[in-house]
Amino acid sequence: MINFIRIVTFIVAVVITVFSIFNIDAETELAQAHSAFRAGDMDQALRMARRANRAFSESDKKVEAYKLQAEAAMEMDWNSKAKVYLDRLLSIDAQNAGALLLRGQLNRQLGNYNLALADLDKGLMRASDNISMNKRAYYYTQRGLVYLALQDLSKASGDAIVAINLSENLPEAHDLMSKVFEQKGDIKKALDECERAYKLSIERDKLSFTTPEGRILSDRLVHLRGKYLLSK
Amino acid sequence: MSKSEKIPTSAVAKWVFTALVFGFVLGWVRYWIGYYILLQGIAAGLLMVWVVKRIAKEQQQFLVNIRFKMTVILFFSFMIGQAFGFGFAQPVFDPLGWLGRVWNGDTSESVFGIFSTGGVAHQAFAEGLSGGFWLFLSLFDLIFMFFFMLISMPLKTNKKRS
Repeated sequence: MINFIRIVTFIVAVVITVFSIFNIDAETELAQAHSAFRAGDMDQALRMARRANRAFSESDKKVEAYKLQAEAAMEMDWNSKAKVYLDRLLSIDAQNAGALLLRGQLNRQLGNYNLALADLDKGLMRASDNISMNKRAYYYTQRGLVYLALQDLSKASGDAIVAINLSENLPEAHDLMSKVFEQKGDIKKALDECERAYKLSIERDKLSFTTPEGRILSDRLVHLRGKYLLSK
Repeated sequence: MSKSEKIPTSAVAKWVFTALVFGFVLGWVRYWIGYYILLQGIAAGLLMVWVVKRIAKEQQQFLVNIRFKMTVILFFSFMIGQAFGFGFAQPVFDPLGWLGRVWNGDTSESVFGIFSTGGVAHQAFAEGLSGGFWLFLSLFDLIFMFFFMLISMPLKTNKKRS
């Protein structure tokens, strides 16, 4: 009899544990995941989005959760994991422009330029009014960087121009333009564009030079100034 | 059974394995649900030693002779198991990196016990714990766990009295 009670107690404890893990208010959990993401707590954003994702059965909600998971994983530099999440998202919704663009950016960072180009082309083609001009401009610069890596300067230059036309104050667009000019050997214009990119990034965030991207930009500015002085 | 007799390695391995499994399961639960300060430590400490005592039916005297050492070994095995359980629940295995981020305040740990109390305590810690206060409460829980493990280990029986 006592063994029976022990077994029943154990089973009840396991059931309660499993129930409390999976019986969650997924909507609230996803909303909390979004606010954790905005607050910069990527660990909690990932954890809550994963919890919500397990509880969701609707495709559109799963897509939203996977996108948040991918973005948070990218912030943590867990790029391979972010790619897994985006692959799962695109297996549910293959035409999702946001996910295609994000995976394109990720593939560029991972050095898979041809895959990046395929995703960015498809994503930019499908990007409609629900994606802001600023975001679209950002992804044009991403595609421009891919063209630059593939040594296609005319296409890279074309994307930089489109990006600047879409969003004149986007530092990334001016940085791309600067890289294109540098590749073409026009150091003066490259320096001007780089200075503009640096100024805009400081305007956007006063502490931007403390971030890895900001440090790369300021190093590039110093490098171009030196190069310009030597070329004079 | 004298104190100098060799401790059976297979038996110790079983006890350590038990502690590792306990740690693994609770580490996994700690990631997905949250940390129940004090209750987790006490429950884990008592349950783990209870299971070890059940397994060590034939080696009770060994446990008596090395109770403090065994408590330390089980405690650290539990901690290792917990790190692995937590790490495998994460999207990328990174339990030590996570500890650093909680300590720096870059992230927080959901504290299930405080969450469920409601009221002012809930509002104060609704975002979870991080930094020094998190460390203090975690150590508090671990000290309780170690204490309960130690007191629930088998004691020397006074044969003269009987």
